[in-house]
Amino acid sequence: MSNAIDRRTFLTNSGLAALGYSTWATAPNFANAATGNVVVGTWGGDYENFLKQYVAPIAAKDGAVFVAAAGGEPARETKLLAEAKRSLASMDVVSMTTETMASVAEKGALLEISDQDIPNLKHALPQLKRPYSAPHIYSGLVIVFNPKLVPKPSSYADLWKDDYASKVGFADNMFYYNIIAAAQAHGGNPSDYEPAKKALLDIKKRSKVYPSNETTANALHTGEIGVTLMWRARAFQWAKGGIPVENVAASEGALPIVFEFGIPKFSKNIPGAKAMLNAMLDAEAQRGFATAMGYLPTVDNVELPSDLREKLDFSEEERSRFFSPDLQYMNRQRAEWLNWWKQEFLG
Amino acid sequence: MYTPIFTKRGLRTSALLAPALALVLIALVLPTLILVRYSFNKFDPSELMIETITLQNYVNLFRNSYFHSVIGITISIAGLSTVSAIALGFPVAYRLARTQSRYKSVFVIATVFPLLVGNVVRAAGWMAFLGHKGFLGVLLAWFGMESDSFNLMNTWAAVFVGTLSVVLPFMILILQGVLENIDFSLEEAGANLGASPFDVFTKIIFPLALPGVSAGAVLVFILCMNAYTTPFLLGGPAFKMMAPALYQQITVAMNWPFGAALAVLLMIVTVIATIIASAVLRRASSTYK
Repeated sequence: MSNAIDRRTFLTNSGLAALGYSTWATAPNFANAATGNVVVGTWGGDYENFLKQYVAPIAAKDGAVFVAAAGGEPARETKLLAEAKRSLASMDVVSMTTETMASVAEKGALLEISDQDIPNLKHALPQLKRPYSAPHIYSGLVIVFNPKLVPKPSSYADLWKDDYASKVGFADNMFYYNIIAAAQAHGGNPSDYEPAKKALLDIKKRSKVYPSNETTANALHTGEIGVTLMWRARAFQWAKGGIPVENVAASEGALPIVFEFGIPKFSKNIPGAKAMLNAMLDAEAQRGFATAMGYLPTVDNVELPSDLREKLDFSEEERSRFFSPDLQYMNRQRAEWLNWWKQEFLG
Repeated sequence: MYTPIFTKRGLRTSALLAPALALVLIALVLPTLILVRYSFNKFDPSELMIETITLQNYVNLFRNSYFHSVIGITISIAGLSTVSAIALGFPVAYRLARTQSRYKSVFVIATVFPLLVGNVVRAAGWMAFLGHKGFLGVLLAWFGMESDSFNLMNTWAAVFVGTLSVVLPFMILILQGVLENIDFSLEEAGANLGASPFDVFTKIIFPLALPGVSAGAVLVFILCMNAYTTPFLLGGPAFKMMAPALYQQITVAMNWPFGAALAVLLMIVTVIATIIASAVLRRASSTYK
């Protein structure tokens, strides 16, 4: 047998080797090493269940095993920052809303990510992409109302009218978004919510505040209140659950809420975390989440059924009026606004 | 018997205590010291906190009238719940201690049963009972009363009733343990010598049960001072108590230094109030001797 290599064989082998190397070199990192458990810090309940149902099986194909660390966002944020200060991370992936994610990124607690690391990121809607996180699902703040109890509102400002007196309810955990809506209705802007103070004090006597989204839903259900501010996805769930409500995007502009996923800087399984983020952006997982949870997909390669899109989505005109908050202002002022809400508005 | 530490036996005893001591040091003392240290740092929204030594958090705390009322309401809820738990728990504990019934263990389990239900579930039960169109409202409406005027949710009364229901089983169990160790022939002797039931209770039973009352009061008071779920769910967002207030500061405002100062204050107030309560009860106990 001859060991000589002719020119054709050499070129063929070289080509195959080059192709193999380039495939290996350009393949996302997680394809090589995404094995073992990936601890995902996320909300419990439906969110956790749907992650297990729609995302975990896709991530498993890349060898990443979904392990939930469920809890509230404040506790997760606190834990992430406390651990990051000591170069530790007990979570490999964290989910947070836009402004909280921006806040922890500003404090240097997250890893930067890119389309090279997470191939499905190239499908993410450009206006939702951040260098430190992947958008997972989104919705927007709308006015949720019971048409049998109050007239259909068209703006946040309508809630200050006599037609809605004593029928307005606010969820305490939505305090910052309530403040933003009040500011929008009374001349505020993305970097100034001061007008909200007088407006909210004006409505204080004619409104009620509930500890959580669930207690607010219950108040809508019993007719104790007839209108509140909530995410459209949740309004969709409430209506599906038998609460007699409809919703409308305020003429002042709906505030979008994006649930994002990021990778803690000191994650112990970075390849696995990247595989998990990639699975979250997978078209099939995104469709499943939208159908089950009522939030909109954040990628451009998913088409929702028309009836679902009609109920969940925002029109082009509503999108053009989306309110984009100044995230830095939002995060810097959060403590002060919380104190104002607790001490002046509720106190 | 007292065993000197620096003997072979003393060292062996100390070694046996070491794991528990280490656990307390690591899980309690160390985090507390870290919290105390954080309370002297400066809050910065972009950096979380800046390490320094400042009393500003405590100054802000003492200057802010909102937190004066938070402390006042917390102490009043804790104090009233403790006194009510003693008043309501004593007769039940006495009956449990005295009963010869073969169903005694069933009664004890019935007393302990509420402890098996989590605070959140219990608060949810109260919400269903007290809330708008809840059980109480429907019942009142059934009697022709306007249920809206009896909405007890988000009130001081709701928090008091909810807190009392949490701590009452603890008080009953502690008192029952003490009352069972009292020789009830003393009671009979008192009665034989002409003491009225009231005299027997105030001059024999209660004084002898005072160590248990004292222990129960301290435990219940501490539980009430640190209550979070009940005031949060039954008191509503506007209700002012220490634990929800410091939770908000640490996890929502992310103002760890101020939250830490609040936590330190909560610890100090609890310790001082506990020392005062113990001293008062000890003095009362000694006057009976």
